[in-house]
Amino acid sequence: MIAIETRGLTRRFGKVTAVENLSLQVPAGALYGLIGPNGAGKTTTLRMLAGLLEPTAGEIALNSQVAGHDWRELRRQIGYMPDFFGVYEDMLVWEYLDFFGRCYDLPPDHRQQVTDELLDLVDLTEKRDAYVQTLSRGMRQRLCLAHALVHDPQVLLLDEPASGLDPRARVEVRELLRELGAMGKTIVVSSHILAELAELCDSVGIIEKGRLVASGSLDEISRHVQQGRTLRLKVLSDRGEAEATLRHQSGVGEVYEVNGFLEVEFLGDDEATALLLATLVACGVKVVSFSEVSSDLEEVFLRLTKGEVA
Amino acid sequence: MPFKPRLRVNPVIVKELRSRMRGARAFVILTGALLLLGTASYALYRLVLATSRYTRSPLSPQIGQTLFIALAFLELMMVCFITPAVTSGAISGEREKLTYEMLMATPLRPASVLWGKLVSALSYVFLLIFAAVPMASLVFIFGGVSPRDMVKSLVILVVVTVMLGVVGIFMSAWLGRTIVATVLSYLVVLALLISPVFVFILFAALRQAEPPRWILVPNPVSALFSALMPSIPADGSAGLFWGLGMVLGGDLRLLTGSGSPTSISRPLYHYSLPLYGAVTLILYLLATRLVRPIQRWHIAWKEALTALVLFLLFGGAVAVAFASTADRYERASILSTPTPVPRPMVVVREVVAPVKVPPPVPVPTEPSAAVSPLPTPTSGVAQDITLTLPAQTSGPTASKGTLTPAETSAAKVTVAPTKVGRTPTATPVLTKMELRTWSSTSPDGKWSVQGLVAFPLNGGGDYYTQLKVEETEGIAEWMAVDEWSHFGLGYTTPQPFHWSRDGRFLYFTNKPVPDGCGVFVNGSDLHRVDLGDGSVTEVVPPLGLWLSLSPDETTLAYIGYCDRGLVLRDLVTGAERETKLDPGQDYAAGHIIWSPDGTALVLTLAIRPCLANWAESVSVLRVEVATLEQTTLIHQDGRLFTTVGWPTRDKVLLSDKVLLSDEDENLWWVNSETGQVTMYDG
Repeated sequence: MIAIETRGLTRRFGKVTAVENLSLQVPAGALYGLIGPNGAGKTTTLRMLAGLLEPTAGEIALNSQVAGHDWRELRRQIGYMPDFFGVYEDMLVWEYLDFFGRCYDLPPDHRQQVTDELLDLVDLTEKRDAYVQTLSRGMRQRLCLAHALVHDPQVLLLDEPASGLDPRARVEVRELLRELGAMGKTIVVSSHILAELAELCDSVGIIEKGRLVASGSLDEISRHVQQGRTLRLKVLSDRGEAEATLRHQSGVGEVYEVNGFLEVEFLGDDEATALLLATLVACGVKVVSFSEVSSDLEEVFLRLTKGEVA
Repeated sequence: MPFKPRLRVNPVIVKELRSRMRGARAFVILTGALLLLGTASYALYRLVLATSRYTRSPLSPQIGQTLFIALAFLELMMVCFITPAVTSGAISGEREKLTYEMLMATPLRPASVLWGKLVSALSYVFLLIFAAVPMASLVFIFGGVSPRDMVKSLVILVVVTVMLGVVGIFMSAWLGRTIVATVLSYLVVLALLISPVFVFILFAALRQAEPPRWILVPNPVSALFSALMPSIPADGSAGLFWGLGMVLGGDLRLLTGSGSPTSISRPLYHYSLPLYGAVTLILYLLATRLVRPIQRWHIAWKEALTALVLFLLFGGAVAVAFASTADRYERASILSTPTPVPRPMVVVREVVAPVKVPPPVPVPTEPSAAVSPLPTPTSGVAQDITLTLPAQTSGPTASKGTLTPAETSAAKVTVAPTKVGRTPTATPVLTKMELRTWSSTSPDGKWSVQGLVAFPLNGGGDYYTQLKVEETEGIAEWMAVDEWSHFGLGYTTPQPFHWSRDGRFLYFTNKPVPDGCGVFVNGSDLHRVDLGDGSVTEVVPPLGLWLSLSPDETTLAYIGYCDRGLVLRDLVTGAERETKLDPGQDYAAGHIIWSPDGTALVLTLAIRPCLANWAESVSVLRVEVATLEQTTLIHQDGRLFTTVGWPTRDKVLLSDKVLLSDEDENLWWVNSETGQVTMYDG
């Protein structure tokens, strides 16, 4: 079942197009990572999904229900955590959660229970009676996450939940997300740091300049990108001659010289790779080493976003 | 989802009140505001005491009225300057602190957020207003203020607060930045407070005419004062209003809009309140759209219908209110032109009428102790009696239809004369009323006149005035004044003014009016009773201060309103001539005395009046009637002379104590040609 679906979602701010023709599908229960450099349109997308920003074009469906004039009801199914947020002054931690409980119209006894459970979940029980403004950045982040959970939403939209946190706090947030994912919630989480999501998400969407450039599970994306692979070889003989030979082979793209190695962009499977080596040797190129440069996600990402990551 | 009925408090209200009332801040501000109001009213109390020591007006109600109006004014100012501060950050503050999106991501209606913000912010201002009510109630100790006045002022304060609150929150939702919203809200407040008065003055200066009253409608101060002042400006309200007006830096007439002095028009606040209501409604509805994150101008038909119903309800309520009060205000009021007065042939006599102790008023129960006397231009002895009359009318003649408060209106209607015997007077149903009476006798001793004012003891809205002329040896008895009036903050009492030389008329004034701060008290309008048939004619409508009739009773001299100076009005033609009295300083003028031959006048100018002593110094001017040429007989003398009589051609009688009560006065002569002052020698 598809929990979130967008069709041709577009948002323009004046002449700037923040999101262009974005169509994505997030299956129910998935932990979906939205990855892209700063300014790629992640926040705009999430705000539109949370019903806080009107799309210039396109539509959004939540649990196959198209969002229209009834946004207010759809909001009950969504928990939203913005990337930048403030906290109310002069408010205690429990009051903060209690307030949002009231906003979601929870009955009083249930509200109290939920508040305590959530404080336990985000590990803030001992800060229950502290003022919100005295909390550290990480604690605030966790409190904000807790606020998005008071009404037990099926869909969580988390915009950069780990931004500005120290490594330890990042781990904590990651653990929390894993826990929430295990509860069966559909989570959309955005980040400009790929590694943060790589091991966490079932599937990711890579967004660049408002366009979704790739979407799917990490393996799928890697495979899609890695049909072109990079080979690194070292030759004894004249490099120019070796380059000329390489260029004549089918499937070979660019050839660079890096630290005395030749790096070759090659389009082909393992069979073709073996054949390429055989051909080189047959042509008299003295190959000392021949290997494939293993491409990690970061590189996939870089390649997809054309190196424009901030 | 099954509907579960349960009390649901707006979450925003809970949250806002929790944080607003947390800690000492809210209470410190509240205490500070009350202390400020308390200190200000105490200072004012001292000021009132200091200035009113030199007037002969009843002191206590004046203090009450002055304190009340000042408190109401201070509270209005507080409201004007606090309300925008607490509301203009309501929405923009959330946006700036980045909490707005989280709030909007909840199913909470944007309108609920707006409503919650408004209610919680306003309830704080209301706390300030209502916390001051017990303190304001202290004015009841002094009297002069009815609970109705207090309710009126509270209603106006609340409506102004709500409007300014909505203005603030609208700016906040519209502009999105607290600083800008605050600045703009305060600009709106200042525009409401200043620009109507400014336009009013500008209009008056450019057109040289009385500007239309409606210019002042948007001004909350005008609205407040129009509710607290009697419906007619320069009515018998205590002089201290005027003094207060000076203290507060403006002429009250300017603030309330004087209107035509001969018609009873709706008080300004009847227009101001609907205006404020409409502004509130429109801005509130706009703000409910502006707070929405999406679909701002996507208005469902249901919402449009709700707005329409709201507008219709509001319009209907205003229409009903206007219709139900229509006959009190819009009924044509009496507007009479000066009536030609037959020229009598008799010459000058003393203006001051002899005084007779009034005949005892029928008193079924025991009369209580006398209170302070009312001011009477004739220096008559007044007697105050508090009595409680039985509820039913007494006597066979008590059948006049104008006597029950229910039928009264603020319209001053000149009553048709009734001739009754000496049998029990047609005293109306004056139960539970405090009565005051005063009287005077005609120079020939044939007639006596008795004035009466009855105040409701419960402080209710209407009071009764009567002026009755009786033949001392005969049975003729004329009712010159017999009316119920609405008790605003002040009251008027009919006062005998002058017995005509030929013995045919009694002139009286129905609107004795103090000038500035009550330095000079005399009539502002003039009526006369024909002693032959009891008919009452309005000689002039309220015109100005210190009316003074020429010896031949054909010319009226008075001090005109609006700084017109000395005005001479020909009572036959109604033509007026005027001359400015400009001593170059703040002044009050009065005590106009005609020369025995009627060719000149002297008058007293109090220089810088309203100070602790009733004036800093006094000038005495002589004005030629024919040329209006002015001669200063006495220039700014510290002895505070007052012109009191002009018995022979070259000598004007002065008193140096006439306005300082309780002390023996010293009399002086001043030479009417040279200005030389000599001791009184008999």
